Amino acid sequence: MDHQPSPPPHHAARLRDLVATGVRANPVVTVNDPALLARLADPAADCSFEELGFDSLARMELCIWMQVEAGFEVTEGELLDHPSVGALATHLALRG
Amino acid sequence: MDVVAELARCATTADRYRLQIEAENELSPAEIDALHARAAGLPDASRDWVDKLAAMCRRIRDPIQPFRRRALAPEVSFFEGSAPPGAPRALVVAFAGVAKRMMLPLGPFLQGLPADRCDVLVLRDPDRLAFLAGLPGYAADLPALAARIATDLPMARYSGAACIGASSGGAAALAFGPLIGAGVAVSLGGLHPRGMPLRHAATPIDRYVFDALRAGTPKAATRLVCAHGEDFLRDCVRSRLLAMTVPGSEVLVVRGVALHGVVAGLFQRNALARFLEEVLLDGTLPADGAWQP
Repeated sequence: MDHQPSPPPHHAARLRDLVATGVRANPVVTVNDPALLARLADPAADCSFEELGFDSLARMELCIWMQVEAGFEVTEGELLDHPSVGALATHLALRG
Repeated sequence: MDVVAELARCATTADRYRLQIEAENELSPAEIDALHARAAGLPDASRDWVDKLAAMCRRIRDPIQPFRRRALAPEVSFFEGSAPPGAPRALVVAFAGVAKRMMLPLGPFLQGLPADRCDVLVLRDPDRLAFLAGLPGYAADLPALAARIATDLPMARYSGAACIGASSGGAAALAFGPLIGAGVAVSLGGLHPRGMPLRHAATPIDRYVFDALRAGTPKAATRLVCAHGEDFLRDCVRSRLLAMTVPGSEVLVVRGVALHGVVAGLFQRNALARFLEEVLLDGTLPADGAWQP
């Protein structure tokens, strides 16, 4: 059985916070649901981009935000293969 | 690309989004309109997506602009307008940003340009290196791109040229404009390549290559414009820093725009078409350096 190495917890948490910030800054989709906003803010919770209402337009905006504002290149493929805030953050932490 | 057939073959949500993103990066307004006419046969999620794209186009301008798409290379698309033979038409060269788009899906961006006044060449850097290494497989650098375009396009038909680049495509547009004698070159929320978070390249990338190119290019009459949204502070700082490194350039503030790259903000303000016609095609810039949507 293969095991992926775990990213350092503090690094993954920082990245999760960064991705959540990118979600909140998205110009295409505004997350208004208090329950979703609470989960976005909770480091222990996760939100899929689907339930956040992210269509393809919003996903591309997140890719742009991640590169231009946060300095992390995220291809559309990576975003689609890691389809939640937590999964993307973990992926970025492992990718380095 | 037959989007309807390909959507029907998508097995997963991720497949569907991949296809939609690809279509957003490639389809002309007329292709979106045709797809919309067939939307009844699409699954709900894709129908919503097509509805949204088509509505974006219609919101920018009516009627749909009849650009015809022709791929010159995988990341080089030529959109031929509808000007009759002999009528004046401009060549617009568009340098896409990091997500390979002009801060909007391509169709809505093109819809902002009048097809009877211009053809549009859209360039996407697949390596996401802001065109510092040219366009892989097409042109090794910007001078080679100018030469390649002169071969691939009917340059004699054009009465003028203009360049535009969004985000990480902005600096390339400013460097390329003088090479083809463009009347105006516009960076929308662009920044100097030194400050760009670029991926690690297989070979070293010279982030000052555009500066050297400008220094070695004979002075041209190209107006070099570093535009930014008034209320997006990062673009404001980046654009002004970029302007400091581009001799002879000018800063253009777009009032009331608070989004990166200007284009989406102009769309929100229902001002994209007017901006592109006034600034890009007419070269009419406000004397006070502030454009009002």
